[in-house]
This record gives sequence, structure tokens and C-alpha cells, in this order.
Amino acid sequence: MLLDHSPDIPNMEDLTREFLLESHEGLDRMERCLAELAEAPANPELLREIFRAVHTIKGTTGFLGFQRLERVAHAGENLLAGLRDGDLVVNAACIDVLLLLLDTLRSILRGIEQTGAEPEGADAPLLAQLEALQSLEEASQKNGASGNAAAFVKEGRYDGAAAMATTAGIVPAAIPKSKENSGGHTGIEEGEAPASVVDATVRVDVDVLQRLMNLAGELVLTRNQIVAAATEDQRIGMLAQRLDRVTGDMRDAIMRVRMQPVEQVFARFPRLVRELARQCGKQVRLEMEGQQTRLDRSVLELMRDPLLHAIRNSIDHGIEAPEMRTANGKPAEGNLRLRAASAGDHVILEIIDDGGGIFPERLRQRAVERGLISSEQAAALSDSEACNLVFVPGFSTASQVTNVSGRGIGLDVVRKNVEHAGGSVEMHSVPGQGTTIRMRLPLTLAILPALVVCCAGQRFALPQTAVVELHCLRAAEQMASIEVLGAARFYRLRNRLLPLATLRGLLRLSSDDNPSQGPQQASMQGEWNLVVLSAEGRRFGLCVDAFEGTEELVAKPLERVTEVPVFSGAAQLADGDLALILDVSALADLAGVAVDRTAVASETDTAVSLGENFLHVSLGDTSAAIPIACVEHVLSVRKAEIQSMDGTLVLPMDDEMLPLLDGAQLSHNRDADAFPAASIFSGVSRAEALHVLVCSQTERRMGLMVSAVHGMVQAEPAKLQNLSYPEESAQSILRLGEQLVRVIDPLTWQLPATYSETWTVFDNYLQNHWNSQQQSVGEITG
Amino acid sequence: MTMLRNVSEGVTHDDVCSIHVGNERFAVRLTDVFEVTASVELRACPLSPPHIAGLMQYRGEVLTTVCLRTLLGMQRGPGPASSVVMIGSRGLFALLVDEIGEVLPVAISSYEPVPATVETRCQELLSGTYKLEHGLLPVLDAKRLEPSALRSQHAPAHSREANIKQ
Repeated sequence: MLLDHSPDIPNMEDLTREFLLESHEGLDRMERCLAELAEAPANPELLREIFRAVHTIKGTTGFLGFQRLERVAHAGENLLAGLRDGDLVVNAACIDVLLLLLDTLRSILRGIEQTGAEPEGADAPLLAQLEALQSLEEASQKNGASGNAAAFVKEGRYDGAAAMATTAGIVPAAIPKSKENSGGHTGIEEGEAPASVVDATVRVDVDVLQRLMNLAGELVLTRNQIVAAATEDQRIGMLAQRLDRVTGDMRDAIMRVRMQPVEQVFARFPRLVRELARQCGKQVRLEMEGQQTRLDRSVLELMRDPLLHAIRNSIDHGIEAPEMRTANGKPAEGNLRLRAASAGDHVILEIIDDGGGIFPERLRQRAVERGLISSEQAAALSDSEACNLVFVPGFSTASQVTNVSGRGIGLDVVRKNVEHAGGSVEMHSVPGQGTTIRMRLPLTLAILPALVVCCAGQRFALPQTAVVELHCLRAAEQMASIEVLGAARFYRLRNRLLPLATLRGLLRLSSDDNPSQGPQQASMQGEWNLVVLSAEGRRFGLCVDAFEGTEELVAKPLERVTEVPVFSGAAQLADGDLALILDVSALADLAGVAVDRTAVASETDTAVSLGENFLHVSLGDTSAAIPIACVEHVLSVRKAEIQSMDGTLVLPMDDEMLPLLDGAQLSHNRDADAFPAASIFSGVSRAEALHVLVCSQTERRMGLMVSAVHGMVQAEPAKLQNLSYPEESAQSILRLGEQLVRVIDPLTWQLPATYSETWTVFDNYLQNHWNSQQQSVGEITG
Repeated sequence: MTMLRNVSEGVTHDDVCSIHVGNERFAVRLTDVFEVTASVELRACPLSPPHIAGLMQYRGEVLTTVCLRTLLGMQRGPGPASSVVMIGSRGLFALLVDEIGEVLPVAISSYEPVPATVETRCQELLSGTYKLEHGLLPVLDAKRLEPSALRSQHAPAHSREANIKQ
């Protein structure tokens, strides 16, 4: 019993809708052509294309009775007919008026779309301009060509500077008529260009495409079942194989229908750049590359705004004013490049400017001023990390709010949108030479590469982009690498503590399960499968029953029925079974995983003070709390293992020498005169054991010697102004029952000079290493 | 729509499909039904409220399946269930029932809103009832059965009862 719901018969509304669709398409085409026309003013093809767009609107609008639209389109058509026939010549003023015409037509169409009727508006200035151009042209033809303007046209390049120069007064210009064009006076039909690409395409409703896609998915399932059932009979087996192939090809082909060239989004940018440059008083030349690179329609749509923001940013903040550029020995005209390129199953979009670049120092300073990070945190950032501070919400480096950008919004939106599309964005900059914003995007949202895992007999999919690594632990390894702090469990991953959660526990897949009991249960099973996940800067380990492998899924939307949006969709697996797709960020919420503090530079979340986890330790006679995010792990070492080098205590480890700080000295260092320097190190005998907290400061690691580790506490630190040292910034204090405990943050430790030197050398090494790696990567992708 | 068509064509009957849950019989309007399917393969949806029976694959889509038994406060049925694919405001969803009956023409004149004395839990799901020769045929309201509508309104049953007492 399948009920059929027949579509309505076409009526006036449908005709209008059709007309709007067609007109919008025509105008989009017109915009693209206008951009090209600026580069090649004498190209008759382009003029014909523009003429056709306006002409079509005029033709249809008369039938539908939109008078204002008809009037404007008619005036435009007159001018365009002159241009097309070579009676008039394209110049900057002309393009400006045509752009104004485009805007007016668009705004009227939009009005019709929203209200069904033409919006009110004064078109007199536009009509006057259109006419003025025509009559001026006629006059100039009588008087002969103007030399200056002709020279400009011959130059063949159109840019912001020229636009500014020529729009001041309308400069009539003449150009020798091209041969092919000289005869074409009679009408549109006669001189028609051969069918363009546009004519060879068919417009398809996105819903129909989606439906096709679903049907293809269904077919894949049926195919799988037939292939499985057809093993006995050989002939059917052959047919099944053919079906298999055809089905796969069909799915790919339908996928491809959804792909569109980035040109569709890029087309708007020449004009945008021109206008922005004019507004900012800068000269900008736009170059675009790889416009035929294809991306899924939905991804492309999502990229529209981020690209816009990035371009605005480059023109407003990146490219310098002409005087400044010449003073710095650069050409007055700035260069902005938009690049699109395919890289495997990804597309790279780059916005490259040759402007002033970013000074990491200024970014650090600004981030501190804005209270986004502390000055110690800022100092700990590497230059490339500092560069990416621009993506933090509430960050803006322009000291003045301009019309274009600089309200502190923009680049954070860029990152949000890009990540929403399953991509990533980063910024590279060479001070004085320019900045590159690079977006890496998946080809399509329709196909989701995912890791399929099994838990409690059910299958779940984890987006591959969130999966960092997989670990399969045997019982013996587990004992060694799992740390228990209070109720929480951590996996010691390359000497860093990774918070753990079990999928069974999070999803309450078996009733007798408790999230914190996961590891114990798992250890009973003898094997433990761990997926290291990362989302929005939060890293955690998720324990599942088994890994099944990776698969490319077609994600289907799912009605949200759970409290936490933990399932982003569902998908059919190759064997026809259904898998729920897990939202890693929601899982992290569910598991209560906080933002990894050591990754602060790449993360937006700087509010780490809410209910943080601390390690409560004793430092000789005082106690202190250390943010757990800073602690990689706790070591118990015999004093004999610790070596002294020039007064610095060092713990030799497998692959490095870990410098040690004495916790007791740390807590008293300020009052060294008032208190005798206590030392945990000297307080123990050679055979006794010491606790060493291995802490990390972005790339740096150090050990903190403590006399005892009491366990983990969760608390919200309070600020306490130090009265004896009012010039110092407020201290963080934790209240643990009756006791007040000072918070020690390794990120704020003042290192003795010898350490600093060591670090500088180390940093330089890292930086060089990183640069050379980056370079080799660049060579490969470039 | 149905009413308009019937009136304009001078038709005096609505088409409904009867469904059975436990010992009770209900009807759904044929205009709300997309298809009925006999056997259902359901996948559980963790963390979902009890009235969500699970997820069902249907023609390349994944439909949320609402369990009518749970909604009516009954235990989940022991035997195999059937499902009715319903047309919801946000797309299709499925309704899990014990058995699907037949398509019946019922007189429009016999329709009447739900009597106020009907149990609240049941009343919330009904749009009205047809008075047949032998007993009543209550009509389920598709809009109120949608998963999205149930999420806001039908949440935990006990808290709702508490509200009523107040």
C-alpha cells in the first residue's frame, strides 16, 4: 500500500519561481562575465553573454508584468546592445554602471521572491547613468577617440587604481571594431555565439538528487544481499557481479553530480575585492587559480562566508596602503591570490596576500590585552601557534574598527564554518612578506570516512577526522599503562595522561555498567581496544569492544531523540546493517572531558578555570595543587637515579634528560631570605624514593619533585591578591575542606637562567626541525 | 484536505486503517500513512527515551520508530511487530504496532472529539473517535505521535502525572 501524492499543476506562482531561478542564474553568469570583461574589455563573447542575461529578463518580465524590472532591464539592454555591436567601448565607468545595473536587478528579484511583488525604489540615477554613457559615447564617436582611455583599454588590465581614476569622471573611449563584430548589427539571434557550457547543462532539483542518492544506497544494499545469496548458481553469480559493478558506478556518478566547480563561489570575488580595495584605499590585484576544482555543493555553500571573511581580512589587515608598500620597496599594487587545488580526497583553498604579514609578538600582546590568555601562556606559544590566535573568538588586531572588518568577529567564524564542513584552517605568515590562510576541506559531506567499532553487539561509526590513533592493549600492558586517579582513569600515552571513557558506560549499553568500571571490566576480557579521539581541542580515549575497520559511509539524518545530541546520524554499512554515527564532541561532553590546556594555542576555549581537576601534592611542609592537564604522569624514582649537572638536577629518561625542579624551593622561592631554603631532594636519603611529576609546557617537559601525592581533587580555584607583594598578579587558591592550597601552574613557573638557556637551544632545534618538515610537506603538496 | 475533498465530492466516508495493540484497536487516517510494512528489523538507539523502539531502515532512509505499546503504558509485545510508516511534519517516521488490520471506510458523521473522561495518557495521542456499530474506533493523531512532538511533550511519564496532580 503505497500512496501517491501527485504534484500540483503549474500555475502563475510556479512560472514566477521558474523565472526567478532563471534570472538569478543569468545574473550570476553576468557577474562572472563582468569580472572577466574587466580583464579583457574587447571580448565579444562576454558582452553577448551579458546581453543575453539582461535580454532574457526583459523578455520574460514583460509577460509576467513586472514593470520596474522591465524598465531597468530595457535601459540596460540598450547600452549592452551598443557595447555588443561595438558601437560603444567597454571602460571602467561602463563596468561600474553595469555592476550597479546587476545590483538593482538582483534587489528587485529578491523583492519579488520575498513578497511576490516588485519592491519600491528609485531607478532614475541608474537610468540616467545608463543613458549618459550611451549619449557620451555617441558624442565621442563624432569627435574621435580619446587617446588616454584607449591606452587604458590596450593595457588590458583592470584594477582598483584604474577604477578610482576613471570613475571620477566618465571617460569616453573608443576602440577599433573587431572584424568579427563589425557586421553584427541586426539582432541577437544572428550574431549568437555557439552554445556555451551553460546550454549543455540541465538544472536538477537538489531534492531529486538526494532521492537518487538514497535510491542508490538502497540498491547497494540489495546488491549486497543478492551477491551473498547468489553463490551457488554460477550464472546468477555472474549477474550479481555485474550488478555489483553497475551499482557502484552509479553511486559514484550520482556523487559526482553534486560536485560543482569552486568558480561558482569565486565568481563573486573580483568585484568584492575591487570594492573592498576602494573602501580601504588600497590597490589590489586579484589572481585566481584552480577555479575548475570541484567540491560538493553543500561544502561549497558552507565555504562562501569563510572565504569572504578571509578575503576581507587580507585586504583590510594584510595588504598595506600604497604609500607604505612603495616605502617598503614593494609594488604599490598588492597581490591577493585565491588558490583552489585538489589533494587526494581533499580540496585545499588558499588566500594568499603579499601584505605586511603578522607579527607574532603583536598577536601575543593583543591576546593578553584582550584577556584571552595570560602573559605566561602567551610567552610559551611558538610563533606559528601565536599566528593562529587570530582564530580565537574576540580577537582582532586592527587597532581601529573599520567599515570592512576589525570588530573582532570574522576569523573565528571562518574556523567554525570550516570545521563544520569537516575541514581545518590554519594561518601562516612571514612578517613583512605576507600571509596565507589555508583551508583544507573534504570533497564531500555526502561520504563520511569512518571507523566502525562494535560495542555490546551494536555497531557505531566514528568520523575518521576525529580519530587520532588506535590502541589494542593486552592485559599485561593495561596494568602498566593505566593510571587511576580518584574515580577517573587515564591511559599513559607516550608519557602523557589521556582521560578515558568507555562507550558502554557513556551510552549505558549494559545496565550493570558504570563508566568508571569500564577498564576493570575490560581487563577481565583480556583485551582492550582504545580509540584516541580529538574534537574541538579535547583529547580522550574511548574504549570499545572491537574495531571493525574503516568504511566510507553515506550519512543519513536522524531525528534527535536523545538528551545529548550524541548521534549525528546513521548510516548503512556495507553488509546492510545500521550503524549510528557518534558525535565526538558530544561524547566528550558526556564523558566530562575538559579542554586540553597544553593545546591552548590552537583552541578557542581559554576558560579553564571552571571546576578543573587538580593533583593535590605535598611540597615539604606545604601543599599545592597542580592542574592535571599539565601533568603528563607521576614517576617514582630513587634518589640515586637523579644526576646533578652544574647545579641542575636531571633525571635521565629513555630518550631525553628531564630537568627537575625542587617543589619545596618552588613554594618558597620568593621568600628565600625569610625562610631557609628547604629541599625535598636533600631531605631524602640516596636509597629513598622521590615522586616526580612530569609536566609539560607546550613542547617543554620538566619534572617537579614533590614529597607526596595525595590524589586528585576537583575544585574551582579562587583568586587571592597577595598583600605583601601587591605588584604581583593574584594567586589562585583552592579550598580543600579546611585547608587552603595554592595552585601551581607549570605554565607560570619562573625557570632559573640555566634552564632558560637550555630551553632556548631546545626551542631553536624544534623550530628548525618544524620548519624543515613544513618545507618538505610544502614541496610535496606544491 | 480529506474533509475538503470528501465534502466537495459529496463523499460521506473517511478512509482509515485499523491497527491493533494488545487488546485495543485504533485507527490512523490513510492520509497520514505512507506505507505499512510487515516485518521490522529494528536497531536500538542508546540513550533514547523508552517510547523510542529504535531505528529502522526504510528505502534508503533511517526512520525513528515509536513504540505505541510503550506510549500507551503497556509492556513491549512478545511477538513480532508490524510498523506503519507515517508522514510526519519533518519527514517520515514509523509506528510500531502489534498488528495491522484493514482499511475501513468510516462515516464522517460518526466522528466525534475524544470524550474528556478518556485516560490522559491515551487522550494526548488521539484526535477523536468514530462511533461504529460495535464499539468505538479511536483515531490516533499523527502530529502527536511524531518523535519530535513526543520529545517535548511526552518526556518522563511520572513528572507529567505529578503536574496533573498539582
